[in-house]
Amino acid sequence: MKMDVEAILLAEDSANDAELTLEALAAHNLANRVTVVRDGVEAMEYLRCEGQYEHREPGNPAVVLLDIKMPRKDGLEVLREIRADPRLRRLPVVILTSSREEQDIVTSYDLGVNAYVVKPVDFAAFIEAVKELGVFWAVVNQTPPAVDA
Amino acid sequence: MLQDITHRLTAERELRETRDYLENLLGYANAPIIVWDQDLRVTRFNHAFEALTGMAARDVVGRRLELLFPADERRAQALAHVTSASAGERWQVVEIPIQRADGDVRTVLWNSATVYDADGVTPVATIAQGQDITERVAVEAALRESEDKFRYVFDRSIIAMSLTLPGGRLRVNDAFCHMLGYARDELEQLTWQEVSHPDDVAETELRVAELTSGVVDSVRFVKRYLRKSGAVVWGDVSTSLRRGDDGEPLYFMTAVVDITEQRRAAEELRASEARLRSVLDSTPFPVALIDTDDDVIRLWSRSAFDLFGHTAPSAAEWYVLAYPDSLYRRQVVARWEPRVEEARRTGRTVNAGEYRVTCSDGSTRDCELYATFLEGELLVTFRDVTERRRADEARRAAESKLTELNAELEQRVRQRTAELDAVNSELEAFAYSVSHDLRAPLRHVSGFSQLLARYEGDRLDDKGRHYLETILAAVGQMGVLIDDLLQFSRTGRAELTIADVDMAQALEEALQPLRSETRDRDVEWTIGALPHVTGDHALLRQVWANLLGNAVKYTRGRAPARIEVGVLDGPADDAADDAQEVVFFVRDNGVGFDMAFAHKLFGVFQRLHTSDEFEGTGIGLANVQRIISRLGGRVWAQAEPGRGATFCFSLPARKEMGP
Repeated sequence: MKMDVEAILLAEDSANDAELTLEALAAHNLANRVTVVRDGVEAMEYLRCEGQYEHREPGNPAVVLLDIKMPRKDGLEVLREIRADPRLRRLPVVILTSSREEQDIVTSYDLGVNAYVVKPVDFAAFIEAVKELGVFWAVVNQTPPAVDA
Repeated sequence: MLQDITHRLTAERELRETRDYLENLLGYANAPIIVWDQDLRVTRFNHAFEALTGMAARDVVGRRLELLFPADERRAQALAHVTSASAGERWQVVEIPIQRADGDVRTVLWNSATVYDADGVTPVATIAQGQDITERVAVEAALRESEDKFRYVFDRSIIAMSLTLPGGRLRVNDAFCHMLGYARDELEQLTWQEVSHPDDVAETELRVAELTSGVVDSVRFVKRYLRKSGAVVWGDVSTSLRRGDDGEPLYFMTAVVDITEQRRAAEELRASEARLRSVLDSTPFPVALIDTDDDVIRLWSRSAFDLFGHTAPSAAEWYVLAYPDSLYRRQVVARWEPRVEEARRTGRTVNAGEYRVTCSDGSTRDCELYATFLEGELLVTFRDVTERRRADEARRAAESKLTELNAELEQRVRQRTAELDAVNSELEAFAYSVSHDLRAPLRHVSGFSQLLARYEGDRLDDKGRHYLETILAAVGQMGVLIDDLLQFSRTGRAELTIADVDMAQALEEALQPLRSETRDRDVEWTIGALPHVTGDHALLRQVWANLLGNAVKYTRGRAPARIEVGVLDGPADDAADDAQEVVFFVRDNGVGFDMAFAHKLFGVFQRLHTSDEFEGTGIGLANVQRIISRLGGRVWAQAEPGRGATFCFSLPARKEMGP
């Protein structure tokens, strides 16, 4: 079992949610490996090392935490593009959202999401959920091998 | 001597005068006169004889008589006659033929006288006078022949003939005797009246009178005779009246053709045709019988006239009447004639198809025509299918109208469905917003309040901590409200799964968690028998859960709490089978409510008690009403403050009854 802390990409348009999420991860020393993007377009640029992320260190994050409702390009579109991209398609993706909509859940799984987590309103529950997510995906889970260009 | 001479001279003169007189008489008489001597040589031959024979006297005088007679066996007989005359025999009337110079033989009647010598006994010459009777003889011969022929025809004719003499006596032929069954001698003793049918005597007399009066030369009429046996014989009678030269009636000549058999056959034919006609007239199908050789329609049934209002004497005329439009008429003929040929060829009845016949009043009838050949005649049968056709047309029109209406209705349904879908999407979008957008700030309030409590709690006094707790409690309350609202929205949109539902089981499933929840309370459950219904099991379970949950909630503090579940009886026992709905009820002995506010019971977030008294968001009964309404039922309640409440809901009776 690999115990290194892998990078996490958090796509979240709400600064509040991003802060709360980072707070939860920080409580478990996971916050320093998190990259936060504000919408789906930025998320894809990061993942494809394009635009402002053209010169970032190459390599995929251990997990992508995706909000659904985001400006420009929503979480489900990002998920669809990831699954359609040969270099990204095995990337673990977790939907982290306020939506309990059955349709969102069904669509996410149809698109090949790895987990679907509804953000609890209660902060303690939220902290717990995010902590578990971070630990599981960034620490416990075995990431897929990188795909050569 | 002189005297003698004078006397002699006188005598000679007198003799000469007499001779001259005789010479003239002989020479210019109209009758042929001839004189011959004892040697049968002609001595005199007058002008009339020259005219008779075409010979001149100078060529004949001095020659023998033979040259006047035909050179055959008649010559010897003629010579015998003249020889006997020369011997002194006087002819009264003797017929001796004379051959003319041109060879023609004339029949001549002769008489003769002998001329004697002075002694008065010695014949010296014979004088004869002739009369040419050739024409008369020919006429008589012709008459004789004619009479012979008439008698022959009269006697041998197969047509009955009679001569009725003045006075009514009959002369009849064999055919007449045979016709009336009498022997000739019997019949010739009777009068015509006695062999006529008594009823026809007067008529016959009229006809006789017409003949007698000379109005007509002949009459023809039909009358009845009576045979000897008394049987009636029908005769076609032709009678003419023969008159004498003086114009007086001689006899009636009558020919009778026995037409008894003919009349009987005609009678039978008439009867048979009358029978045929009555048969045809009694059929409801119009028929026409056509002689196709000369295109005569011999017969139309009365039903044809009844149906069409007109008929025609020939097919050609019928076409014009029945199919006034010439274009359609041509189509009719083109369609009809091949079928008629088929009927003629096969000898079978052929369905010739349907035709639209125009009636006398201008209306039309649709007829199916059948063609049959009966002994060379074409029988056409019309089957009126107008009503059927019009009913078909009306049905087709109605069907097409119905199809149109259905299409319109479907179009409207599609439109409404589209509108509903649009509204539903809006609702979904709304629900989505609620679940996501409202929840997020709430989470933020909660999150940051807790962060505040965690990191800055030490610096807050009791009042500050109370504020924080209140904020967190309010956030929690709002989270529940949002979740309830979402559930309500989903209840309205969820697809119904309609099936047979065992209400007892649905109730039991809803009751299970409540039993454990009320373990510490004193609750008396009374559950009646519940039927199966047609509905959605999950939704009905939710209905029970809401109603029973309310009952448990609002009986808090009652000991014992009594909660009763059951089905209300129908208005009458025997009405149960055909009842339109089943009514379920949940009755409790809880706090009840004021009926003045009953109308608010089922509204969303409507509450009749405060959250302090009884927790809740006011969404449960709204959900119940929404579910029951979607299943086609109604919800209502009866209550009194402090004395419990009864909630009822109805569901349509099951469509198929189980065993």
